[in-house]
Amino acid sequence: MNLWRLFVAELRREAILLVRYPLETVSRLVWNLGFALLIFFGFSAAVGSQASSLPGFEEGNVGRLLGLLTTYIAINGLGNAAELIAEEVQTGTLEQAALSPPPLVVVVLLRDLASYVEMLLRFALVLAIACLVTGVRLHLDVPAYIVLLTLMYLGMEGIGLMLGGAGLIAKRITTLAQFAVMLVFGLAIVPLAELPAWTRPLVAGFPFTNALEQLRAVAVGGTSLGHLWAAGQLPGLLAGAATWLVAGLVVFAFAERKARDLGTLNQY
Amino acid sequence: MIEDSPPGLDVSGVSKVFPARAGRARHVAVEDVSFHVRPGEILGLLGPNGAGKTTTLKMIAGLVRPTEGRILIDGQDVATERMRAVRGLGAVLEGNRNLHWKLTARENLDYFGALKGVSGIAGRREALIERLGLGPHVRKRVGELSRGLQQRVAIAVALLGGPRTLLLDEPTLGLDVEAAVTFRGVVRDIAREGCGIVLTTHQMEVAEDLSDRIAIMAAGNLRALDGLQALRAAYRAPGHLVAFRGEPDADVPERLRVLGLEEMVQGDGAWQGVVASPENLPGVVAFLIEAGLELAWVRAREVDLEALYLRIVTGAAA
Repeated sequence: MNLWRLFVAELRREAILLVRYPLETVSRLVWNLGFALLIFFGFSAAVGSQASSLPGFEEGNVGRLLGLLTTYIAINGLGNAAELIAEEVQTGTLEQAALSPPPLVVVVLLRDLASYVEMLLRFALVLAIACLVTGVRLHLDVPAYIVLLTLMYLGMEGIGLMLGGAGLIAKRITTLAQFAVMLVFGLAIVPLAELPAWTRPLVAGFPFTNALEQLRAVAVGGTSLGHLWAAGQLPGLLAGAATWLVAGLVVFAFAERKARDLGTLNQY
Repeated sequence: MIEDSPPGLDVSGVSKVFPARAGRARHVAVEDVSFHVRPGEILGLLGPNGAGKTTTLKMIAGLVRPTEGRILIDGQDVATERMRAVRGLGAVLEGNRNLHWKLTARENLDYFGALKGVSGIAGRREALIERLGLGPHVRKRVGELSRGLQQRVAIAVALLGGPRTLLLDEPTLGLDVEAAVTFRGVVRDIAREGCGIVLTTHQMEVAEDLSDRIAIMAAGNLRALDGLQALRAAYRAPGHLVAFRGEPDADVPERLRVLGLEEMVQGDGAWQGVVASPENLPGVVAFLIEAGLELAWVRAREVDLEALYLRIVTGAAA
């Protein structure tokens, strides 16, 4: 089983679709940029000086853009597996994936990672343009951004796999997926300190919350990965991401087995 | 050659019971089904909707787990060695939707080649493109191809890994006459090269034309499994067909009916009827000669696949 070759094939498929449908590609980029600027200027106008009290926004302009970028990627990681299952079930291609030698969960994971690579490039471009338009300057530590965002994505992917697993059995999980997305969005704008005390340990273990905090430290304060590691924050993020991902893989594999029992794996 | 080869597919005592779920009662979809397919053999799997054909194919493909029984593909158990077992299997289930419609035929072959772990994909891909006549169409998006071509691309994808067993679920559904004829040729060629094929269909002429053996399922059970000739012999309707030529007097048809010749029809310059009871045959023949009519032929009554299928499915005795 050559997983690298399958990953490259997934990347190639993404690239082909980006090139083949240029209007869709450009529209997506414009929409992402437009939404970023809308949020940026909208929050500036609506919240004004209070913006500094919101997580992701508290360091002002830098935090705002970074919070938005992180939210995008987190939501994508969360929704990818579930959306992929829904899309593939509708098109019928899930069947091919399910009866191919690699386990279905591996195929889904590699496909999501290929989608993450495309998304990372797209949002790097969006962020660069947004910085130019708004005059925001980020501390440029590309390896740190990639490490932190990837760990966050993998953690969110774990939750996404759980949702995707539910989709294999229940088929219609739109409301559940929307709730999860709203949860992420909520965490991006509600300060941790304002949440009920009993929810804080749970939220702190959420890959999104943890990663966002460290990203801000890198972007605003110029904190290095080495420092984050020594401070125990990065190991915490790594452990959290691994835990969520493994949990997601286990739940998905269980759901796949259940779907093969119930006969729902390739039901249209 | 077929009968000497070990089976590429061996289905043994397989059952599937879907448990009760919200709004649905417990359902026995397949019950104690056994058959095998040898390399180069085409098994036509027939049955009405809900008979359990597609569930059986999905169990072979590993998409549905059997409640009981064992399925071996090239000697590998699908339940316990799925990854190895499905390497010897190709499948086109649920029609032509299992391709990426936004990719071209060639891109689909490349993608699914990687998914199936096929080595030397370029050579294999080009060989399949040529063999299935896809050459002029490989640069078109699959969504732009006709259904017949999409079906051929789906078969090419299924054949990428060089399977010894191929599953085809309703492969000619929705194809026009020309595409269906081409498709049948493709299926025959694939079998000739040593691939065992299980195909489900509601089209009797497709099953009759392609199948070496016919399996008929109803209500989850395998009701019949044999070569078409053997099934015809087993389910042959009693009696004979009798044909004669000449101009019979007006009272002859009624007198023949009394003697046991029924369902008389005239066509192609001859009269034809059925003698259902063998003991009536000598009397009918003697009367025809006595009446100065020319006896054209006497044949044992045969049953066509459709009639045979209906008798088996409805449970009429052989």
